[in-house]
Amino acid sequence: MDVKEKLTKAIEELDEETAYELAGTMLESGAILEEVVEACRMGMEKVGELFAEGEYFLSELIMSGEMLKNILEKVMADTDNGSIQALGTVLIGTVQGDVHNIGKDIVINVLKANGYKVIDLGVDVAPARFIEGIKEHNPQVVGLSGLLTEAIKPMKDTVDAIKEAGLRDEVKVIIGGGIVSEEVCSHVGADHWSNNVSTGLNIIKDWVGGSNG
Amino acid sequence: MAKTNPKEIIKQKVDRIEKAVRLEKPDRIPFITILGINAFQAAYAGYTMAEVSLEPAKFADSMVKLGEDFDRDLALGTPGLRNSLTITMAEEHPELVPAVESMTGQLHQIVQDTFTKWPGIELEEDVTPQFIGGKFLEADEYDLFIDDPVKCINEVIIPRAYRSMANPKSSTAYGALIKWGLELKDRVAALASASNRLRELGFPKVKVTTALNPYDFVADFVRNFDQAILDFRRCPEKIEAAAEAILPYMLKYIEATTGIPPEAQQDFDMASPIVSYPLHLNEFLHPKFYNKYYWPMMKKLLEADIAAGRIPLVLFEGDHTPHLETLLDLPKGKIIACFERPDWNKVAEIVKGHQCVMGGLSTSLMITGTPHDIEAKIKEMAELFDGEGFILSFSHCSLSGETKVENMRAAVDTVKNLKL
Repeated sequence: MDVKEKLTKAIEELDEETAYELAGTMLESGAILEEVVEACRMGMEKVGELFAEGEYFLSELIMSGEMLKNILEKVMADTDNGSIQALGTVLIGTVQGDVHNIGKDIVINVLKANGYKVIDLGVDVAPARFIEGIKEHNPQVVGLSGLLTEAIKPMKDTVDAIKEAGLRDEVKVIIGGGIVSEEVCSHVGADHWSNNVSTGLNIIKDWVGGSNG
Repeated sequence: MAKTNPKEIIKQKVDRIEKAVRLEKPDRIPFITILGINAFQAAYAGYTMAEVSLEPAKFADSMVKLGEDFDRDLALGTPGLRNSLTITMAEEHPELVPAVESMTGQLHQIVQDTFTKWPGIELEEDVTPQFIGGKFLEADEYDLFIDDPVKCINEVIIPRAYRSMANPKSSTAYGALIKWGLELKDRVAALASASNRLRELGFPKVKVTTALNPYDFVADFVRNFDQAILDFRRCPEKIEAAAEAILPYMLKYIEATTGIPPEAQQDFDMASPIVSYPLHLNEFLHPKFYNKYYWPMMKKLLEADIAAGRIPLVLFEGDHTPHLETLLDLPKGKIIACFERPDWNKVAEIVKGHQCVMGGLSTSLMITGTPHDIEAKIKEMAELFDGEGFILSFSHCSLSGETKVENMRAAVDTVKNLKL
């Protein structure tokens, strides 16, 4: 097993220290950034598979997200990763009036690990900020997150605002969180819904493309 | 036709709930609501969310208005979010803990805590107050908490969590404590008056408290949610020791908030106090962590409740399906297991006949559905549990302002007319 395969394995097994060491070793021995990111991505893909199979839980997704974040931020602090080609762009935010971020942040890590560029608008995001974000970043997908039952109305307001701005045909809209359902999706006017990270990821892969799509 | 005496109605409701807990078939399915500050109740009473958050009398009035128009077997409510750092008071000042455990909008302005956000303060006027938590202790400081949790909370965490008490020896801090006392006086009076009015309307008055699994305490008030989850892998012995360290105080807090002296028995309609446990980490944890750490701790609390004659009402947030089997560890018919969004068929398969199950009415459906949908959903749930050991309730403690009044009416009417 070469060092790249070992890094993939360390991510899959959530072995934090080994993963950081291996990422460092790869860079020291002259590996290019893409190789390290690719090894991490393959590990995260394994984690995603184990989550879909019910072997891993949200606690494991949070740990793998933390590992990816640390590798990208700390181990590669001095490297420019702007050159990596993204599969597509997802604009995401927790809707107006809701300040919860845990669900959104898990989704962001999983999307990044699967090769998507993610623009995170944060929490309590007004419809107008989603519109500005769409105009500025041209995402293929807009993700509206919410934990509260009260998030349903701002989700609808945001989709309505996207329609009014004449941008509805430019983007696919997915809503996520414990409160969403088929009924909520049609009430809000979104294209799809998900309260499970792996099904959400597969929907986005179907729309934008990606491995295992 | 003469109206039935409220005392008689209350007796029927308590009997209905107690039968459901004992896994028997009541005359009809009990309907219990647990509502915090929520937009439906506020708007129904003609208030903004900022008003009911900042003025306890308006919150109390909104509870009464809802009670006047929508009958339920039990209406539990809380005027705020959790402020569990105050459980340290349980040992020295047990008389204070029932009141100080809630964080209201008014108290938030006084102590300036960083773990909640409020309408009309950080949020828009008509938005729900929200608990966001925070990291008040670094991983390398765990031993401070493990060695003496009360000292650590009082001297390290509170100054970090309440901005007004950043310097505990300052006039700002002393002033905040005095204002807190004044705030409590108003709040306690308003809530007592609402509770008496609701009793006149035929709502049982029960002794109820909200407690936390010590691991949720560590996640919500010590280390922050995501850090606590990472701690189960990074330093499991530390998070375990921290949870063990706070457990005795949680038990003291529960005793202090549920004790009914013999002379006060007639003030309450149900002999057993209820202890509600909103669980947070449950859905997130891998069974290997849930079964090794979280559930054994939960079991200690539940066994203490059962031994003391209290009824634990456990709110299993999120999708609790993977952990359902652990409920079989408990003696039959002793707790109420309330679920948010599980696989209900699995719940029926595993939990039915072992513990009373509560839930079934999604707060989203209250917005998107029709009265017919509400009726159909309630019938479906009643059939799934054969009307035995089942209590209807909402999936969340917050009803959206978009909730349709006719759906609320349909829920109340359906349970009343449903023949078991």
